Amino acid sequence: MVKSMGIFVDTRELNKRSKEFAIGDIVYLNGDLVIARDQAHKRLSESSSILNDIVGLPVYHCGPIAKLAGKKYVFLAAGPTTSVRMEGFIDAILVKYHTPAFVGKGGFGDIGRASLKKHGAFYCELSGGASAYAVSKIKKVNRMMFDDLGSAEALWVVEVKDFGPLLVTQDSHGNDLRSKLSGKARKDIDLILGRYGL
Amino acid sequence: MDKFKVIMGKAILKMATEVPPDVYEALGKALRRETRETARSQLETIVKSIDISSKRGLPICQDTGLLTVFINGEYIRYHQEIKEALESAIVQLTREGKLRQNLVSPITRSPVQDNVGSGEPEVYLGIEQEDSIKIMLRGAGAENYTVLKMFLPSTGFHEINRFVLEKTLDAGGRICPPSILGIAVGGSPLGAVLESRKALFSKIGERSGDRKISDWEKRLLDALNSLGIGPLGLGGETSVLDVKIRTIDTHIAMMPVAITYSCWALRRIQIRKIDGFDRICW
Repeated sequence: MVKSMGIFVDTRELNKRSKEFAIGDIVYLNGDLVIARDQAHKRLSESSSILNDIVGLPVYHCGPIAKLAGKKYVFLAAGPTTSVRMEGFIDAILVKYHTPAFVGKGGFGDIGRASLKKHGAFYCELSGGASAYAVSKIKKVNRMMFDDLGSAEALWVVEVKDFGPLLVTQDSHGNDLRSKLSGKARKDIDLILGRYGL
Repeated sequence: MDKFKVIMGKAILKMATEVPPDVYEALGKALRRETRETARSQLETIVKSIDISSKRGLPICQDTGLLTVFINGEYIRYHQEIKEALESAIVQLTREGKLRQNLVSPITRSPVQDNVGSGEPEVYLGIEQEDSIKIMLRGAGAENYTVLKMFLPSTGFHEINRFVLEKTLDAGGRICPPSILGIAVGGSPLGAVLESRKALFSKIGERSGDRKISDWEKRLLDALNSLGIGPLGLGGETSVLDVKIRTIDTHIAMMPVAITYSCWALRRIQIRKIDGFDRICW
């Protein structure tokens, strides 16, 4: 469903539709979302067993601040973390978990981009640091796994409502919103320095 | 001393959950200036998130960083008590979920409980000639792009500026721009890095007292904003909110240049004696 300049999509439906998304699209997610960062990626990619709960779900790169309220966890902060650190692990995860999309900040490098293309997945971003905003879009914390890694590095499954705006910056066709920008700027450095007498 | 415990707890909490007014104002100004839709959307989300944080007392960013503390002037006498007060405040705020468990042992990467360990909090004494305690929370996104380069002493002005532009492009969206740059030119390697970090305590828009340096800051700011990096590296006119340049006398055979970046979520606070009382101020 398209509502005011954004694509609102159920996370369980992403799998069928991941190739439809193109750079520049704005996405809002609804439903279950996996949260994982460095150590959880390492474990997911190296482990021989499969966690059935997270098959086919998008993965959000985040190390939340979580607090136990009674028997349940609540998040106090849950902004995106830098995704490029995890790019070496995503190929194995895409193969095992059919992950349709990753959410994070900063984008992947060449390795991650190639994995996205190979497996038909895309990458989108929430504004870096917007951690209280992200908390306001997380309705429920459903599961914590890999607890021994501590709450920031653990694997979580949460339920989100209108989680976005997420900007698609790397799509399943190999396009990258940022590479166009930085390539041009690098060529212009001397011109810019000259313009400001630097 | 108990009075330091109370004030440190309040100061660190305020720093973790509110952005300084000068930064908030600069972000608002950037939003009014940006015309590009993606850039506007990023800045709008940032401002919304800051508002939710201050209303609900939530951390500005989930990376609540590690602490750098400068104890100056008359506060140096109490540095032991202040350090203990800092430690107990960090432990308590970590347990309350206001600070993330960030500290780990470097080789095993196992968590160091409650964020107090060897070298943390990082405390420096007498760095400035004033009566103050200055505290900064440094997240790893920007910290990982801190850079020190030992240039040849014959290095010119142009090469330094080129270096700043290149490094800022390399950092791209990963330092969560619009960023703030502290740049130190000269000194020793250690002194340059320290000075570049300390410079981030200066308010957005506050210029160096030296006219040549303030002119350099302004031109470098304009040049950096011409790179088109934009908020979160997604393109736009606001890549950098401000540039602080500090020069330090150096050795005939040296030319250190250090850059410390801050993400838009610049978390700094200070304690000063005002009318005989220790006050928390931006």
